[in-house]
Amino acid sequence: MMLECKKVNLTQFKALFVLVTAILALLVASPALQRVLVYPQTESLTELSLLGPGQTAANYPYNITSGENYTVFLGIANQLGSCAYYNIEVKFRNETQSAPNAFNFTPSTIPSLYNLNVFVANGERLDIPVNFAFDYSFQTVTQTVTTSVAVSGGPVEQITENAPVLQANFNSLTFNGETLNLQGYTSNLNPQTDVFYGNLIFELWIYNSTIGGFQYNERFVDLIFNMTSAGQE
Amino acid sequence: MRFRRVSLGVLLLATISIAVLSVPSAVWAQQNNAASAISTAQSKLVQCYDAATAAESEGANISSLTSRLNSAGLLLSNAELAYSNGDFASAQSLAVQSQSELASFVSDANSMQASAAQSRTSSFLLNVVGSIVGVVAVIVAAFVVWGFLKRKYGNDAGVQKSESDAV
Repeated sequence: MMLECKKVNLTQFKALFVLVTAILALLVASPALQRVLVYPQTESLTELSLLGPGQTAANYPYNITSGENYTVFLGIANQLGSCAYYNIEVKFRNETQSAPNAFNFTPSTIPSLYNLNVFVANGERLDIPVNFAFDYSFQTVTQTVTTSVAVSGGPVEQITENAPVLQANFNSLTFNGETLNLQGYTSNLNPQTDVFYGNLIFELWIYNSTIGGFQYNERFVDLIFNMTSAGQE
Repeated sequence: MRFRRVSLGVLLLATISIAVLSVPSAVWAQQNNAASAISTAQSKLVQCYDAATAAESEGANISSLTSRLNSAGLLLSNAELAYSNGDFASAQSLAVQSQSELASFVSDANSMQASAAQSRTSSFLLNVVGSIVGVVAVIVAAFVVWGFLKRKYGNDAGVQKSESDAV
């Protein structure tokens, strides 16, 4: 009787058996591995953004009319790894006043008009609607103006004279329903661009518990305005 | 008669002087109170922020806490603005409102922190200990199965026996 009884070669399946066991063990261990394997956070930063009225990066107000309301959205996204306490310093300046420097990471030296206290949890983003309106008027003032005059065949001469200059005088800025005093803020007509320059700045400061105060977070966003559209006399 | 006139004059002068001097004093007191209320509100805000951060570090969802902090922060911002505008009564009122907004905040944050810590411990036990037990079970089961297979199919590796060979 040629009865053949084949015995299975288990060694051939040993590797496969070990592999299947290892995969099963890894699957079962995955919840624990998830806790043990903490991936390092690659970026630790705060995003500061400014969006237009439709919450898109478009249609930013530029031509400003006195007394008219405008809306933008200030966005703060916290990627620092823990809850953060921010202070947004709202500043307004004309063309000649100090501006924050994006290269030297320094804030503007002009005093802030309003400080907004903001808290954002880690990994969250806060969009703050900002409604604002300027109250200003125009007047002609006499100022000392220095002009360069090129005389034909001769050197360029600097002539200093008193001349009438059109100036925008700011009274107030209504910011989210709060009236901020802009008395003493002025903006002269720029003869090259023919605009009355206005610059609304939002500087980001962050609370440092070690020093117990706020530090400039080297970030700012701003809006540049043309204040020529309204009530020009 | 003359003495009476002089006395009346002195009395009137003294009354006017007191009235004039008391006005700046009252304003100064109001300013002082407002400054003190703002300072307290600022400290309270920092204290609550620390409590919220501690709760967050334990894994608590602090969205409700940051929302309250933002409300209190806005009131404090407006209090500071009113103070800089010389409206000390409003400044004080807003600063007190800011503090009220944060009443029971620290205890709420601590409770969230404790709850998150407890949840974290349970989760740790379930995940880590459960996983370790599971892995051990898988390995033991593998050995048992391997032993069973060995007994059933033999361990003569690489040899295919046939009864005909034996015969």
